[in-house]
Amino acid sequence: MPDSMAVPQLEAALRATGELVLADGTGVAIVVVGGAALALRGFVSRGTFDIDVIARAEEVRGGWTLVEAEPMPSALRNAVATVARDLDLPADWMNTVVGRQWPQGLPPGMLDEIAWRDFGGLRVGLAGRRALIALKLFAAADRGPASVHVQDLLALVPDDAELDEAATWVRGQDVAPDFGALVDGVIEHVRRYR
Amino acid sequence: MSGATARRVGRQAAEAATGAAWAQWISLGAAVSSNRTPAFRAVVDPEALVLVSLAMSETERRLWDILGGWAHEGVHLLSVQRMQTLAPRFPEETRGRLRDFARLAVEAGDRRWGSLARNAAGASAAPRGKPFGRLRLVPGTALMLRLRAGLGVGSKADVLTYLLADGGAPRSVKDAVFATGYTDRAVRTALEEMARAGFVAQSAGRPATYAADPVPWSSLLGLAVRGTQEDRTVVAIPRWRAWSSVYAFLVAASEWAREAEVQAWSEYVAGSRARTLVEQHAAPLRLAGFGAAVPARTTDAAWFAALVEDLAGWIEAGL
Repeated sequence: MPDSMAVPQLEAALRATGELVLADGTGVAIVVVGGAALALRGFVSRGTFDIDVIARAEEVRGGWTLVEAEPMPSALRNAVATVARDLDLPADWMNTVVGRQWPQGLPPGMLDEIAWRDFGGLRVGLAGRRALIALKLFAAADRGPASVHVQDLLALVPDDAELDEAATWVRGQDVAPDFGALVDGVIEHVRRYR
Repeated sequence: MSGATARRVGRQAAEAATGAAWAQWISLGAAVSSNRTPAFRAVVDPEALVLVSLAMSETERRLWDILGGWAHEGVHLLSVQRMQTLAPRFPEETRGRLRDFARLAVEAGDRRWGSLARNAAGASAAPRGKPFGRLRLVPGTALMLRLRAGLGVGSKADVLTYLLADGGAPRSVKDAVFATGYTDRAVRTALEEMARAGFVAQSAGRPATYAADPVPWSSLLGLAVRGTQEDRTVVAIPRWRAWSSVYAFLVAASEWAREAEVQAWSEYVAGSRARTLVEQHAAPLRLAGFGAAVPARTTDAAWFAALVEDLAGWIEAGL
């Protein structure tokens, strides 16, 4: 089993999944965030252990609308399990854990910045820069300055306006009294080392 | 995927299945000519033979003619119960043709097939009325049918065939259930009663094992004693082969090839579907004596083509 997936492995796994979904006579669209989105958009070169699906997308009247990631369509769920078996990947190589963010709301403007890539029957939406900065800031505040999320945030080299916009959304995610200070700490760190 | 790979797998699977089927039919006395059929030396499994013939009859039309003749000549020696147990290992299309075959059996006067024939769709091509030939029960390859003719159609004759054809080695109830396809209870009862009657020997261990000594049985059945090896008599009872498992896999591989081509599967999808198929059949194939391994990483179907080729060679060597 590989330690982590670099871009070629990510693309191979997504292509295999899309081919299985297509062979099943269907099509699915997902929105990906985290390390996989950063790598596939070329923002970072590090590998990732999994693909984080934050939402699915459905075509409505010629346009795309985001919907909750769960429940995953059975064709996709089966394809993910089969690809794990065939490519010797962990069972949760694609998961919707980050999709639990859905009830609290996604970063503003997320849909507009998505870059779509097609892998057979699987359409993959890669989150854009603003959404990734917001989500990474949130994760970094939650996990602390030593986490990989801070490194990812630094790799994105956000400017002050982007950090301010992200901070506004992140502060709304947690009303704990000391959470705002944690967010400020991360922003200060990023401003110093970006 | 390139259609050539699918076609190659389909052709090899079909040729292996029909080649073995023809060899078995000829050994039973079917009046057919074949210039590419090797002599058959293993025990014929009649239900497996009918099922594979039904499965392959769409492309090998003469198999339907043989089955039409068999419905008159030998159907009384088939087990309806065992046929129904083995049939689910084959595709739905084959099971549909089995219902049409059951109707032929009923029309030939065997009422045991009535319930199976009730849902016959009549979609299969009608046999062209050719006679089967002259059913031969005496050759060793017909041992299962011969013991059925002598002892009655049922689990006892079949389990005894298995024990004799497996070389007289002690076998458990579980082994015999896998080999014959009867229920655990039917096999256990058959073995216990045959042990009480002295037909087979029961071991004292747990789980109990049973063995049938091929020497006195081969003498009784008139199967030639070929000579001795040290102080042991070597008998000419043919080998047991788990034909139902082997045939079910070949038919499934044939179906895989057809779908791969029709649906234009990608290399990866073809390999993945092949892996699923092999994993489903690996345990029965392993018990039949053929190790079907899948690669740790599956990205194409090249390995599957090689596996089917190996299996075809293994079948031919063991006919």
